[in-house]
Amino acid sequence: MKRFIATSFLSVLAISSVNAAPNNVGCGWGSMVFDGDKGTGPQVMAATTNGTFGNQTFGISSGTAGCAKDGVVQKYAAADAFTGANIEKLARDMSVGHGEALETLAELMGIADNHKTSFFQSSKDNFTKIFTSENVTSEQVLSSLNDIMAADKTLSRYAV
Amino acid sequence: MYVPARLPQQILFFILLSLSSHAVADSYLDQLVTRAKQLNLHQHAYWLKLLHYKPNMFSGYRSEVLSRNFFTSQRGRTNPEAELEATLAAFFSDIKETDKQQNPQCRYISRYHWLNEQLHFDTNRLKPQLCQRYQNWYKTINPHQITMIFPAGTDNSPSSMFGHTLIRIDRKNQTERTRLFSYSINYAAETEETNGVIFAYKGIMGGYSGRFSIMPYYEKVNQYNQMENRDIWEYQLNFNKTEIDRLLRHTWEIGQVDFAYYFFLENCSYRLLELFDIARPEMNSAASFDWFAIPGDTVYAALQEQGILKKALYRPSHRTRIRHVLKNLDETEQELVLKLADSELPVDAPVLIALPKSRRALIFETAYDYIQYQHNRGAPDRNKIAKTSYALLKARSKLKETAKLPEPPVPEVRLDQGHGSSRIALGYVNDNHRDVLELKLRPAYHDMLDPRAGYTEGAQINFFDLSLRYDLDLEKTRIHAFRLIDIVSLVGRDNFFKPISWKFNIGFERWPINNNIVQPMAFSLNAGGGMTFSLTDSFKLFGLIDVTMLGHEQFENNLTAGIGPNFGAIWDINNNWRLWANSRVQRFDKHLDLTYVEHTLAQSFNWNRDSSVRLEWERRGPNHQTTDTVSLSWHWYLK
Repeated sequence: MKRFIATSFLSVLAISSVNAAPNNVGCGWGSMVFDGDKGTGPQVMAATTNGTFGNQTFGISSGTAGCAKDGVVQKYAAADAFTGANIEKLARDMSVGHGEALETLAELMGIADNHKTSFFQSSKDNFTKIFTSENVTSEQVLSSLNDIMAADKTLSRYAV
Repeated sequence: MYVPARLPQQILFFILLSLSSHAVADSYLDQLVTRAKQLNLHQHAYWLKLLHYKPNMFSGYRSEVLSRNFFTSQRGRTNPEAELEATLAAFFSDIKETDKQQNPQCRYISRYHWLNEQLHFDTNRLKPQLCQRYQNWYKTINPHQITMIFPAGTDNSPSSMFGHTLIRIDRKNQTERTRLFSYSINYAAETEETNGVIFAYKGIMGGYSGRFSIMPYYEKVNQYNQMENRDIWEYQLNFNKTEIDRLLRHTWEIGQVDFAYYFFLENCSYRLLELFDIARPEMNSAASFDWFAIPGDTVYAALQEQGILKKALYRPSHRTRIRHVLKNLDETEQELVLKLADSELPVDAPVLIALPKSRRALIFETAYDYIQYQHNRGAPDRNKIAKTSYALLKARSKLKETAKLPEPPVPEVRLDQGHGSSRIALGYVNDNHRDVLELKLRPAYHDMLDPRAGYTEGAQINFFDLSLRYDLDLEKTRIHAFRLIDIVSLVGRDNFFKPISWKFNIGFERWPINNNIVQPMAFSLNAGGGMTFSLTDSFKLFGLIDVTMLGHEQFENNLTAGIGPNFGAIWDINNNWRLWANSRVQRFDKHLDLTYVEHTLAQSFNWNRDSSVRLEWERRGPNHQTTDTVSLSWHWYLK
C-alpha cells in the first residue's frame, strides 16, 4: 500500500505539472525497459501481495487519482499505462513480430483488424528504432512508435 | 409558531417552503417505510445479502462490514430494519455528486436498485439521481462477461499455497488475445506485511481488515504468471446482463468499505462467492462454507450452479512456459540458452550462426525469457541484464523466421477438480505388536501422499491434522498427534531452476522421552532446509538439515533441541501410485540425551479422486531401541 500511495501521489504531481495534456502524458506509469518488476524476491517466507501489487491498483468509487477515475484508467492514458506495465513483454513481442502484449497494444491504439499485420510487421522491422537502446523508457518507446507509424502509408492514420 | 418580527419576509417564505416540501417528502417516505414493513423487506434474504448480515450465535444479525459509512443508520450494523428505514430516508437527500462525495442513491446504488424493484419508487416524489460517476466507471469497464480467475498456489510460500481467486470483467469485443486490458476485481487483506509467517498468523487470527480493489488484468498476470510463476485458470461464467449489472453495482457500493478478514473463511474466495450470490439472487454458494473457504473448493462450489461454466482456459506461468520449451531443446541448445543468458556468449557467435535460423530464433527467445525469469526473482545486476536482453531482442528482430514456441499442454485436471481438501482417514495400526485403530481428521489441505491431480506439485500444507488412536488391548483412546501446521516444499532443481526445499511443522506428538509404554505427548517444532533433485520426471531425491525443539515438563526449562540430517525419495510409479521413503536422525542436547532415528516407507494408491489407500511402515525411537509400526488406512476426501 505504501508504494501504491507513493505512486499515486507522484502521478498527481505529474498530471498537475503537464496540465493534463491529452496524449502520452506522464501518469506516473512510465518505466524503463529491463528494469524488472519490483515485487517480492524468492524468499521462502515472503507474503505475496495479493492485493496491492503494481501501481495501477486502485480503490473502487474512490474519486480521482492521476489518470484514473474511481479506479479505472482514463481512455487517453490506457495505452500509456499498458506500455508502462508491460514494457518487457512488448519489447519481446515487437522483436518477434507477434504476441499477446502487442495485440493488446494494437487494440488500445484503435488499430483496425485489417491493419494489424502491418502494425506488427512494422514494429518488428523497426525494432531498433523503437527500442533505441537498453535504457529507453516506455514514454520514449511510444513516441518512437508514433513516429514510425506517422511515416508509414497504412499506419499514419493512427499516429497522433 | 413565534417568528421574530425582524426576520425578513423572504427568509420566512423559504422556511415555510422547505418545511412543506419536507412534509411532502416525509409522507412519501412514511408510505415507503410502511410498505417495506408490510413486505417484510428487512428480513428478505436479498437485503441480508446486500448488507452482508450474518445471523448471530443466538439471535439477531451482525454485518461483516466494519466501516461505519456503509450504514445509513447508527444501529445499521446490527439492525437490518433500522438500516432499511434509514436507507430509504437517505434516498431523499439532494446532495450533489462531486469527486469527493456521492448522493446516497449512487453511494448505495445496489440497495437503491433492489428497493426500487420492490417498492416501485414514484419518480415524481423521489427524484432519481443520474450517478454520473458510476455511469462513467461502468462505461469504461464496458462489462460483457464475468470470468473467475484462479491463480494456483505457489510451491514455496505458505501464505499463498492455497491459491487465490479474483474476478475479471470482460469487455465487449474482447478476444482471448486482448483480454489483458480488461479490469479485474480483487479482494485482499489490507496490509504492508511482507513476512509470510506474520501475515499467515495475523490473517488466521483476524488481525486484518479486507477490501476490494480494481486493476487492469495485466497487473494480475504480471504478478502471478510472471513474478510468482503461478499457473492461472480462467473460468468464463454464464451470467447475463442483468446479473452482471447487479454485480457491478454492488462492487461499486462496497468499493470503499472494510470487511472483517479471516484467512480461512472470510477471505478472497468467500467474498467472491458472495458477489456471485448477489449477481444471481437464487444462488447461495457462500452459505455452504462455515469453517474453511479454500479457493479450490469455492471454485468447485460456484461451478456446481447448473450451466454456469462457459469455458475454462489455462494460462501457464512464465516458468511453466520456459520449462516446456526447454523440453523441446536438445542438450547443446539448452547450454547455448544458459550461456547466452549468462552473457557468456555473444549473439553472433559462430556456433549460433551455424544453426538453422528457426532454431536460433527459438534459442534467442528462450534465453530472453529465462533472463526475465531470473530478473523477476531478484537478480541484482540490471546493467548486465539490460545489455544482454537488448542484444538478444535485437538479434531476434533481424530473423524473419517465426519460431514455433510449443505451448505447454493443458493439465487434464483443473485446480478445482482435485480431491476435496478435508480428509477423514480410518486405519488399522500394528504399533509394536499392539493392535490399534486409528481415526485421522484433517480440515485442510493436501499432503505429499494425497492424490496429486489439481494440486501444486511438491507442495504439502496441512492444517489441524488430528490423529486419534484406540488401543484394542488396553481399551484406551488417546490423541496420537495433533499437528497445527505442517508445510513441506520439495521442488526439484535443475540447470535452470534452483528452488530451495524446506519444511516447517508445529504441533503435539508422542516422543520417547521416558520408558512408559505409551509415550508422553510433547510440544514439537520442527524445521529444515535443503535441496531436491529430480532424476527423472517421476523420481526425486531430497536432502535437508533438520532441527527439532521439544517442549515437555520433564526437561530443564521444559525444552530440548535436536539437529540432524533428513534424506528421502519420492517415486511416482504412475499417476495414482506414489512411493515415499524418508529417513531422519536427530541428535538431542543433554536434556534428552539420545539420538533419535525415524525411517518411514509409505505408499499411497488413489482409488479415485476422493479416496485413497495407504500402507506405511515406520521404525522410530532412540537408536538403540527402535520399535516398528505398520499401518493400513483408507482416506476419504470431502469437498
